[in-house]
Amino acid sequence: MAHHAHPPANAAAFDEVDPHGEGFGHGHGHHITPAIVLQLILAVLLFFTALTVGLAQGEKWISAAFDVTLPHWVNVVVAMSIATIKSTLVLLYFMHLRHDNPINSIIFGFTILAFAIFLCFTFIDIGNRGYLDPVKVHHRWNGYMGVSDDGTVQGEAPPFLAAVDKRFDELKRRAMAAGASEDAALAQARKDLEAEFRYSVKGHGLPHEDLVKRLASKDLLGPEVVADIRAHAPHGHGHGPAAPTGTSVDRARPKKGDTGVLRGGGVTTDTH
Amino acid sequence: MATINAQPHGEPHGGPGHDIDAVKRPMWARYKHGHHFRTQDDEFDACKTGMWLFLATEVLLFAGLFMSYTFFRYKYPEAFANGSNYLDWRWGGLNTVVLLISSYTAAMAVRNAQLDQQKALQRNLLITVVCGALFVVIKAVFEYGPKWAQGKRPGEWFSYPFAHDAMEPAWWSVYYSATGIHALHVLIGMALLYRCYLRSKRGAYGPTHYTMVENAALYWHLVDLIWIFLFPLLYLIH
Repeated sequence: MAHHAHPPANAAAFDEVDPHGEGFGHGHGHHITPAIVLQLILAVLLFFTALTVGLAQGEKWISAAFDVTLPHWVNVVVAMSIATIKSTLVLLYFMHLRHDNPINSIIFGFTILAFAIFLCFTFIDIGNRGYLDPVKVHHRWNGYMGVSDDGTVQGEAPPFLAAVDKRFDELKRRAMAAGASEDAALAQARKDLEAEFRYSVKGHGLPHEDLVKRLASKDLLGPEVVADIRAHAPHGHGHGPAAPTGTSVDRARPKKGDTGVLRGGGVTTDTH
Repeated sequence: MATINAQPHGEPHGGPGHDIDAVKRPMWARYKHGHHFRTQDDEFDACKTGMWLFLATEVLLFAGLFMSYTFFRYKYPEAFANGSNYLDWRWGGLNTVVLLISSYTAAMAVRNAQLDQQKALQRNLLITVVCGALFVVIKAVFEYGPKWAQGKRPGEWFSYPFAHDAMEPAWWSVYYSATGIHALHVLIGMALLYRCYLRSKRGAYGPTHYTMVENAALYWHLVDLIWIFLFPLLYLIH
């Protein structure tokens, strides 16, 4: 009869059904989480979800009601702290890391470390562009120079601006497919676009200034319509006063005298 | 005749003179672990650690997406603050609750397998799959559908005429790629858990063999973990 190199500790009769003497039944050393613990963790997770939503809404309400702008990082730090607490609970109890072989926790910890290195190095890079190599400073949308007051786009329209004409063409095509003549379709498209514009303004406030100027051009909605909409526009979402430097597209436009000088010595340009 | 001194719990006893092999033990009790492992437990631990290694790669996949979010938010903060206003936090919140509950039922399913509670195991696995389906349906019907129709689309396909910021196509790119790849993982997790459900109906899982349930549940918890971070980053910034 073949022998194992290590005979079983209890030298009872050899059992062909169970040669390794492990017995059957509950797995040895497998921790079974009590149901009440799982239910408690779920309740805590739901509470933290409500808390994070409540705090985010509360911040919005505070800045609208008291006209005070909280620093931007507050929102991020609070939300990420709560998310970290929630994920730690899921990892420890739902994913069983608390009562598991430590190697699994080490693997996960190392993953987070790898992610942290990824973030840090990338930000060391992009946060410091433009210090050493002025040649590499670019402008986005080199051909775009803004929208003039009568609504004509100067240079090549960037995607967010091209969307207006795209949508107008779509509406016109829809009207013509319904059987209207060229002029009737044009009028119908104008009406539809105006309705969509009013709906959007009602929900989100006025869109980007260049878009409003483009919509006010004679071949789209016309200046009187847009002036009327502008007059009745709500204040928007109240996420604080508009940044004084305008939005990203304004920074993208090359300004007079901008030769891409080193940061700190000249005009702020958008690096590649 | 070999002495039979080991019987799984809860199996019908053969009675005097019955050879135990004539009485069918449930499938999980008949499972034989791979011979290159000393014990069943060694195999289970190895499989679980292997699963954690795989989860590490999944975390790094989403790390790339979170990196793109961080980078673009750093570059175009107004576009992201504006973009977040287009999203309805109530749908996002509902999806969060759905996923948290499904995580709970997945953890309960593992517990059921450990305690040989077969009916409860099947029920909890099924509830988890249904919650996953609910998540995907809410996302597709109430979020993606209306947005895509209005032209709020990523990058090149952007055709929403009333954008608030010039870089809104970038915001939508980040939104769709992060939530889309997450939704793909929800579907994969659902497929794994549904397979577990079908096998559990045949008695494949029990106290000594529930590795597949454990690993599928781990994958599902990871999907929930990712959403726990995605939800505030996309819906709650302003």
